[in-house]
Amino acid sequence: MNEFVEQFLVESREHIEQATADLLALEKTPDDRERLDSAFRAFHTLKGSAGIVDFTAMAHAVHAAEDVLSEARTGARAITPGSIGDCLACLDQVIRWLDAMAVTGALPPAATAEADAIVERFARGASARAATWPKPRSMPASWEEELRETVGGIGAKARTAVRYIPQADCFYAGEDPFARVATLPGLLAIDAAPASPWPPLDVLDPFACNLVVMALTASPRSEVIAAMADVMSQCDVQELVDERVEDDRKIPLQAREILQAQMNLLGETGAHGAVGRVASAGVAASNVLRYLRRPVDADNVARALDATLQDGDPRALRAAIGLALNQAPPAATTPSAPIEAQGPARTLRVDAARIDALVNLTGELIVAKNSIGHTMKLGQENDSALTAMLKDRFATLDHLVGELQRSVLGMRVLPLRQAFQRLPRLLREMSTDLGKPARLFVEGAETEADKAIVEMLFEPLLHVLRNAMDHGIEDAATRAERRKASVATIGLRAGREGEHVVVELSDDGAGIDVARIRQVALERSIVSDELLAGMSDQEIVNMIFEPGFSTAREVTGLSGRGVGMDAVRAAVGRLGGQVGVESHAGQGTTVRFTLPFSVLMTRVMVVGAAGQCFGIPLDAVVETLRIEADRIVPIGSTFAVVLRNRAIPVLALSDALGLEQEERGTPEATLVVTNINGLHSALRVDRVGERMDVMLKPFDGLLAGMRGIAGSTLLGDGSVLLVLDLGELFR
Amino acid sequence: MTVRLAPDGSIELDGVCPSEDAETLQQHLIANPATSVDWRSCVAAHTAVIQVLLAAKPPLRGPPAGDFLRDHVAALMNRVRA
Repeated sequence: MNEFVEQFLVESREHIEQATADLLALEKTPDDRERLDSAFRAFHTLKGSAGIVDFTAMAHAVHAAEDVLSEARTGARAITPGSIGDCLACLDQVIRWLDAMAVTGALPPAATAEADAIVERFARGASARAATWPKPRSMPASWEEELRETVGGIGAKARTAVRYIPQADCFYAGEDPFARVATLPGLLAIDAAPASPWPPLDVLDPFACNLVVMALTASPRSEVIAAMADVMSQCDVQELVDERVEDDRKIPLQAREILQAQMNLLGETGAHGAVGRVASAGVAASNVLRYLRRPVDADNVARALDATLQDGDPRALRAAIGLALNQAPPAATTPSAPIEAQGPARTLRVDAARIDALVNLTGELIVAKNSIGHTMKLGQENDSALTAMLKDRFATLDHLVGELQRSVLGMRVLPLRQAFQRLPRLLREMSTDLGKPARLFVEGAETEADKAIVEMLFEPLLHVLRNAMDHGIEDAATRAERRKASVATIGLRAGREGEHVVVELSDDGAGIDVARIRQVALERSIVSDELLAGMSDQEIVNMIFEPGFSTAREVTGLSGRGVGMDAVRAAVGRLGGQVGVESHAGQGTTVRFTLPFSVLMTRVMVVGAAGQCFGIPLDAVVETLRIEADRIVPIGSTFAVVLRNRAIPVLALSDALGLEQEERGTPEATLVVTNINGLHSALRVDRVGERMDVMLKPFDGLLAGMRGIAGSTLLGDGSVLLVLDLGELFR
Repeated sequence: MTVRLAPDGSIELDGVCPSEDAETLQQHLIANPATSVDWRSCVAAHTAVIQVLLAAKPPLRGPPAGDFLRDHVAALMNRVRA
């Protein structure tokens, strides 16, 4: 992928993020001037970057949104939920394009049609609001710029543009719009378009004016206004020159950098350098200049490019770009920082794959360090001076590697905001679709977690949010009846708890209907009658995480396809997290995700079974204990032990893994009691060993499908430790 | 009459066409959809007349006599008919 496109993708996403936040804020406080300006800037920059990579369809679509915001800024049109919706839809489309571009590296093929659809959406929105003149469908720029393009070369001399929309009955009042325009001083060109599309000729009312008359003149605005004075209320008169002069002077810093980069690129290229590089530098430079509304410079550069491509000497092109650059002093840097300043200014963009490589290397380094530790222990027996020194050096190495590991893992850390930021927008959509007004309160969005966790979290959260809106929140009538606030409250809280990151999504809806779950569980024979009778309400509520469980009476577009909560649990479980639900009838439901801070480091406890060692994630371990072996009693085909008046199933690790177990001679049994998704189970092992932090490597290839094993890690003595996936083992 | 049907079937605009001509021109164009409009002797035309031309987009025989028509409206017609 070319570096411009790469940079375009990264930056566009940032602008989209900013624009989305601004739009959502504007929806709450439509007169927030700062937000409006910020949203406008974001759209404007998006349009500009689209121009730089030659993505006209996107520039076109974004322009339509920019127009709406621009009109809001001038006060010509108020910002409405409808227009915000249109702008958000535009951003959605842009996100889809960017996603496609990230995969293919090329402009999406259907973009033009999709852009037209967006522009049409804005046009429809505008006419539905009936506030202003409906825009022609494919408007590349403001009307005065389009007018200039339409009339061709003569437009360059224009100082003033006028758009006159006469009243429909003006002919009866003796008005002759074209005749009036004909008298404009310094008239250069005229244009006209139907105010609403022409009807068939036989139904056209010849005495109703259905025209928008536009003209360009070489006169100053004041003279034009004087000539149009009688009908000024139906006119829009724009001064063209000032804007151009102002624009001619400024080259924003960013554009300056891009132009400079093109010059450097050309400088590196020898007299007969790569044609492709010269061509792309030339195109990029002329696009930047065009975007800056410096058509003369852009044309010069384009001409120089043609010449360069013919004679192979890039100096002409370099000179043309240099000329464009040097003619203009740098613009005063306007602060374009996002409203919510985020993090330090000195940042560096690094490809995630490079960080991952660093993480892997650190992992290898830890293994190497551990093996030195092992060697040291072997040497300790002869207690020489050398061993003492080795021990000392090892301590230093251990400390440094630990620091390195923390720093490297810190690089993968992202704020949860990244997973949260799309939710307000989606909630808004759901809320409209379902006709259930709702508000989202977010707390702790700056809580940090590993990149893998943050990236994984979005889907499950969305699922839970959908469930909350679809099943949890009652409809307006029911809420009124129950004397609840008409606008539902959804809370999203995140925080750090020890080594864990906890994320909670709560609603103030009806809570989970325990009776209904009981009934469905019976109907679908998910559990037997007897078992169900013995289950507590909490255990019944937990059944929503069972595969194939969905109590929605009808499948809606939002949720209720029966792939909900078990998928959520699976996704969270894959990264070593857990999910639980708490529900209070009539008061609401809270779904709680408990996630590891870092997915790469796992704290394990080493256990032995059938002469081999295995790691158990320490998160899952409740306690380890020794009991008399005869307290383990067979129940049906399985075994159980009674601990603190609760029967807990017992699984012998060697059996579970299909290992040959020698006869245990001891009268005592060693048990590791684990908690997996709220259920306690005991694992019978031969011995319990040390605890350690390991970098878990998931299996790939042939071993990937191995049941009950989460991954492996190397121990100090070079042997492989398999780390168990307890969830799978007990299923 | 400033709007009339010529013997060859084309529609002629002559002199200064007032707004009332718009209806006549429209009727002629409805009756003879494929016919061309000859505005070579047209000096000026009311917006209502130009509006009918803009909506019907008939083939034009020009250039018209009047300055404004020749310099500006003719160019506009060319763009509309393009």
